[in-house]
Amino acid sequence: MNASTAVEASTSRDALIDAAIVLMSRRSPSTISGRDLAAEAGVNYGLVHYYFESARDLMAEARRLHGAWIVDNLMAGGTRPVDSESALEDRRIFGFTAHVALEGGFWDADEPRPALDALLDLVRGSDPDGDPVHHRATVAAVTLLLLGWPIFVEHNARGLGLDPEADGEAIRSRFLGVLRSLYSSVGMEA
Amino acid sequence: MAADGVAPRGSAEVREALIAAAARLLGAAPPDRISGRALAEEAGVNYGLVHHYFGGKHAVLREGFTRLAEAYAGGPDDGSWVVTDPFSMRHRPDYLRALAFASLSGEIDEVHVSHPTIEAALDRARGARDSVDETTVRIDVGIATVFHLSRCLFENVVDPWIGHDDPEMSKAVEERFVLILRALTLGMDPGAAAGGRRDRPGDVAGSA
Repeated sequence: MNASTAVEASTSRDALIDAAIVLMSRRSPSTISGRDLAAEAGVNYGLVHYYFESARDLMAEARRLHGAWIVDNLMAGGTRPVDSESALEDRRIFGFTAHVALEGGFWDADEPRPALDALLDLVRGSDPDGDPVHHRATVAAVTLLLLGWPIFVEHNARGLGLDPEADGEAIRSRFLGVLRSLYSSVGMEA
Repeated sequence: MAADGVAPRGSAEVREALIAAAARLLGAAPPDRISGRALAEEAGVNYGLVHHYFGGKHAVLREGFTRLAEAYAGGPDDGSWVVTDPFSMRHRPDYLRALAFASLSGEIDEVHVSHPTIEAALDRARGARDSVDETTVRIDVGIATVFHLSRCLFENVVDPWIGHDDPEMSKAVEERFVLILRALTLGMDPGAAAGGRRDRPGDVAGSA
């Protein structure tokens, strides 16, 4: 394989992984076919089976790489937390994670969670003498709030009789205040 | 197919079979992927009866959603948990999953029913915060409910990480989660709760 083919090959494979992240952020993996993935990636369908055993295998690989992808692309290599406001808009974070959680069979309990580990490292760096339970609870709570907010806020607001138009700004600013409180308890800015 | 293998007959049985089928399917797929035919097949009834009794699949799905919410609100027969327990939704993954699927596919309006524990949570919050305006009480209960639902939905993602290198850590963090949930409900500082502080509602900043 010459150099230019090697580059092309790796970009096709990467394009398929990126396509899996995009499609899995929109719908359940069980509804996504190899042809859907090839079309989204803009590559020939045959390449799905050239690089991977199956569409499912490709999506499992995307799931394995997802945490590191967040760290590299959305946490500046682990030097800062995911920006809260963008996390609430970005389906590649909450949509992807939710679809994987709902589908089952994608997670091995012992696998590393690179994005959680990266945030924990930032918390420890900011609060080196702090309580490890506090650190882990903060990382988990921030993560759960960022993942759950886009999914459940509308249902909750309606169930509470709040007006998404009139109260939207107050709801959002209160929520961002909650995140700031969690971050500042370990000496970090949101 | 009906559980006993006998096709449902008569208005009451058919309606019941369709609603029960909707409740089962909503926990496994978003509403837009549940067809009228799938409902009929799951219920073991003729497809035409979906329209005959409900006018279409959307009404069946709404009733199915209500059924799930009621089952959650009613709690289990054996009383092993109650809906006012912190993170009680983890005991009803079908309703939790139905909420998440409907929301992710943008259909929460179609199937929405009132979350059965919200009124109880509001009453508790109002009792503890009598000087706070109603909108703030509702917003805070809403944020707390997001945390509650998210903690249940993402259990398999987050929990193995929490206790990965120390089983004692899981228990300790779970206790902090309960404190955080309480702080969010009552508008107190969630960061202090994460650090293990159990403030009184009267200590709330901005509650005066």
